[in-house]
This record gives sequence, C-alpha cells and structure tokens, in this order.
Amino acid sequence: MEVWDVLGKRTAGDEWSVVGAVKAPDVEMALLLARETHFRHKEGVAYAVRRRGDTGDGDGALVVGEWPPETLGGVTDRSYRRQEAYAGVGAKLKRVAADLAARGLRIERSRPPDPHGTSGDGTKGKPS
Amino acid sequence: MTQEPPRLDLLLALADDELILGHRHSEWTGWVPHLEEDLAFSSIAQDEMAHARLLYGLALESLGEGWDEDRLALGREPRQYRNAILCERPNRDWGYSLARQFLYDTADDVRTRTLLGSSWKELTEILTLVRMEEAYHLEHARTWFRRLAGGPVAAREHLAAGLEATIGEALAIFEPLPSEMELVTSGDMPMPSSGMLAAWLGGVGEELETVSLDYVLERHTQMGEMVPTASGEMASEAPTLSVPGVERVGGRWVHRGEFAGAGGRRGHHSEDFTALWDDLTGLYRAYPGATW
Repeated sequence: MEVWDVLGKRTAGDEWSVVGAVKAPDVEMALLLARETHFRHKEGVAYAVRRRGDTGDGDGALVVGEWPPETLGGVTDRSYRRQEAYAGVGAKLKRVAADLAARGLRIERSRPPDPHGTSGDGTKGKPS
Repeated sequence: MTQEPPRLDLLLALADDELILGHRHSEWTGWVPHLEEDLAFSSIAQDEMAHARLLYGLALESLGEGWDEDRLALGREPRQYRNAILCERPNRDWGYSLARQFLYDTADDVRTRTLLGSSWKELTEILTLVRMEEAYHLEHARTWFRRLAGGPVAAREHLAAGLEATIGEALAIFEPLPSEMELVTSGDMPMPSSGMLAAWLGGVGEELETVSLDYVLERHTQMGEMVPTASGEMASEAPTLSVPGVERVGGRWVHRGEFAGAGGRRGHHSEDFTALWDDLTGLYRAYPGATW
C-alpha cells in the first residue's frame, strides 16, 4: 500500500507543513484517513495529502481535503481526548480511592495480565 | 422513570442508539485490521457517545431530582434502554460492523434530517450540531461501502454477508415509538416513523442497486445473480434470505408489514444486550455515586 504524507495548516495564514503520514490505496482513502488520524482534535483548519516521493511543481502534487474549517475536528466537547484532560490522574485516583474507602468500598479489580511478561516497574517477571 | 413522557420516549430512542452503537464501535479499538482505520472507527465511537450525552442532557429536563447524565447512561435497568436491537448486536467481523455502520448512519441521517423540522427548538439545536459530525460518519460509511462492494470477491462477500445479517433489524430503527401519536400531534415529530422508514428504505435501496447488492432486500431461495467485481472476479452464490415486509413496488423499495428484531423502543432486547449492559454499566453499579 502506498504511503501518503499528511500536511496541515494550524491557522489559515500558515504555510503547509508535514504533520505525519498514512498508508492508503488511493487518494480518496488517503484524504479520509488523513483527516481521521490527524485532524479530529481541532489540530488545524486545513489538511492535504501528497503521495510520498511525488513532488510535482510546487504544491502541484498536493491534494487538499474539502472539509470546512468550522467543522474540521468536530463540534462537540472532546476535551477529554487531549493530553491535559489526563493531568492529575494519579491524584484523582487517590481521591476516588479515599472517598470509596470512607464508604467501605475498595477498588480491587486486578490488573490485566501483562502480555509482555514484564512487571509494572519494567523489569522482567519471574518465569513461570 | 415509571411513566415516560412522550418527549423522553423520543430522546431515549435517539440517545440510546448512539450510546449502545458507540459502545460496540469502541470495542473495535485496537483490533481494526488497519491502524489508520482503527483511529477512524474509534473517533466515530467517541462521536456517537458525545451525541448521546447531548441528548441525555436534554432528557434531564423531563426527569425529576436525582438524575444526571451518568445515571441516564449507566444507571438504568436493561428494560429501560430504548435502543434498536441492531445497535446491541456483537461486532462479529469487520464486514458486519461496516455494513451495520452504513445502514445505521444512513438511517440516522434520514431521522435527524426529518427531526430538524420538529417544533421542539432545543432538540433541533442539538441535532444541528450532531449532524455536522454525522456527516463524517456518512462519508466513512459510504466510502467503505463502495470500496468493499467493488471487490475483490472476498471483500464483497464480507460486506454482503454483513448486509444480509443487519438489513432486517435495521428496519426496526424505525419501529414506532410507544408515544408516537402524541409526538406527531404535538409537532415534536414532523412525521411518523413509517414516513422516515419509507424515505430511508427508498434511498438505501437505490444505493444497494447501484452496486448490485439490492438482492439482500429480496426473498431469495436460489442462486443469486453473478456480479463481476471491480477486480474482475465473480461473486459466488447468494444464500437464502428473508427480509420481512420489504417489497419492490413501482421501481422503489417499500416496507409493508412486520419488523424483524423489533421491541427495542419498548425496552425489549435481545440476549446480546445482557452482556453488553453488564460490561457498560459494571463500574457504575460497583461504585455508585463515585465521581472522577
């Protein structure tokens, strides 16, 4: 499958800059996947793809997505997807655990099995 | 929630469809056959849940003290959920999930577009927002639909099998609501569900005909037509089908009669709902009142 560079503009006055890449069989799917993978969190106002290695003349090889800037990235609250939504998770967990403990409840769901055979501190677990 | 006002009937049908199908979509996260598509489908799942949240927010106005979004989404008994049974079915394979997304989102498009004509201003404001994001879902669904229908044969067959498995229950997205008569009389619903079903079935029938997959709407007992795919291969035998109440009349697909998989709008669910409900609401039920 071909590789397509994904380009974007953070604001309308910006130049195009490469923000990543997707694998797609053709330009239609490349545009759809570029938008879905790189422009769903309000990262910019415009997006485009360019087949890797296809330079063209100037921006000639660039195919610009048609999704309008007003709705690019969605219109509903998705702040939880951004990194800052996860700030203070450890403190929150402690607070929730303390609240629950005060009511006689305990978070006791065990951790899922480690598929890589390593313990939580990054060291190898004991061989079984 | 002993006796639901008509508006709550409508809101819960809309919101529970989005929540439950969003939950099923989210189960694909990390498992979609293609990394980029994994992100795309996960985003669609999050959108559906965000739409449910907006609608639950409006539903709270019809409820008394003690209700909040979390309790509405996670704190009801199974019989109190009003989603269509189609939305609660397990994901099976990727072809099934894409077929379901195509049928659901085309139906939701007809439903939300119709409801923009509602006399209920707060609902139309929410649906205007929702439709801006549903446009993503429609593009995604139709892109995959055309692509899989165009072959190779294995892809077309996966899509066709998915459509065969979902088309009957998709009709029941438009199962009449218990309070439908009141909702239509008040203008909250600009037309009855049967009108929306006719509009959707006519449109989706045309889309299926475009890619020669309309046989999934017909009663088949023998070999299906042989359709060359874009890759030049030939699709194989079509299985026996039965979609109740669907006929082709005057060049257009119409619905007459009974539904398969109906009951969701009255809180009757399939055996698949119990496990989904248990998974979806388990944390909420284990730690009632916990906040994050």
